[in-house]
Amino acid sequence: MQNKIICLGIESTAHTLGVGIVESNGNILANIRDSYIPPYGKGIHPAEAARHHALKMKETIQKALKQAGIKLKDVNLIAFAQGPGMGPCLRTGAVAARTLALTLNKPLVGVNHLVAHIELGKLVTGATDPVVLIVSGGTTALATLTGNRYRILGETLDIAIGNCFDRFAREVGLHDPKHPWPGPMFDKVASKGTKYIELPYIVKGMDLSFSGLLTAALKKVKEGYKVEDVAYSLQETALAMITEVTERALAHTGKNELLLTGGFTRNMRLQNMLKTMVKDRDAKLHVTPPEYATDNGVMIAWLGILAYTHGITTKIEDSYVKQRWRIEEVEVTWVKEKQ
Amino acid sequence: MNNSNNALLEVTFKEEKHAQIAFQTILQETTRMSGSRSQSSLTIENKKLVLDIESKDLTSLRATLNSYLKWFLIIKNILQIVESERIEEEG
Repeated sequence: MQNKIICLGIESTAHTLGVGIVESNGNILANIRDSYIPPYGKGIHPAEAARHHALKMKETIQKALKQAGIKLKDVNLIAFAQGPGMGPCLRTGAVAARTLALTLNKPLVGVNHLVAHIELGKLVTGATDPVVLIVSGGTTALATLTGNRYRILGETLDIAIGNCFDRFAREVGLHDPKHPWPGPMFDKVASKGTKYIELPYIVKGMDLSFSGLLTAALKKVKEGYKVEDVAYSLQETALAMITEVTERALAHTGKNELLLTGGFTRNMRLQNMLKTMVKDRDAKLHVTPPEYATDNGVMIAWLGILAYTHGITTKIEDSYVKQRWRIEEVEVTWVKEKQ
Repeated sequence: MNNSNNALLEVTFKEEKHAQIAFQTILQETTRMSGSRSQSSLTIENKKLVLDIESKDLTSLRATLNSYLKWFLIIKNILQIVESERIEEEG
């Protein structure tokens, strides 16, 4: 019988530095996050975010150990987000993980950030073989397990949905100084809209395009339309596009589970649209709770355990970051597709 | 005109094994970081790491140096956590 494994996972692909500690039975012992907050009205500056992660790394690890009630010597495995993501940010996590692995003389596993989102979503929601919708500031993609890999069924051809709404909010000046990201303010303003303004609806097969939609929405604001109505229309259009391709993914795959994960999961309008759609299809919607849907170290630790217990480790000389690591490049040795 | 801008950084660790850990950790970045604007080499001498950076311009030199300083900070801070735990255990 295999002894219990405790894994410390480090997430640092973008603005969030996350350290999670998980046991091999799925018990989550710690989830600590510290996000880089850009200057008011600005987006993520990779070098500045990396600086933040470097300065906060020690404190974040210590907080995680304290929350878990363990010491570093109790950790059996080190995992880190090897990609995809922003190079400078990824490297801070990689350096920390290598140092930990070498100092503690423990195995190291570099994991794919998007696969980590999926696997943690499955763990905490109970989804078994879902179509997965990953939506965040940097990602909009539909994936599912086919054979021994997660395959992309559809994705954005340009910007992600979170980025689309954030940029709209920044351009039109919707930003609550008390909150680091414009997303929640966008949601608030959009909920006050009453008039739908027609905007470009861009679905190409199973793929989506949001940049033209964003440009058109900004143009409407310049033309004098009420910001609330434009935000409402932008939201309705973009989320309807996502719901359409998601429904098509369920139909094509014949799967009856949909897992929603990623930082944009918090958008209630998207959740409601998807709920209506899956109900019509007699399918089930699994929504990853916010503390596990947004970027975090727990997902890295959990995927580290899954990979390690199925024969995967990363040598130090193979631990360089992979900024453009595609989800399909990961061999999923720990899951068997439902027959 | 000489377009070369250089920086030499020496970082000394408490123990040789710590320097070895830092060397193995950062070497993965050094071997892949060199580009057209900046080249760097890393060597180890007992407890000391020596980083030699040569850049075409000062902006690139500053950026490269900042990256390495961030990584050395991370390594030193993590070594401190391990050391603190060891002292606590012995105490």
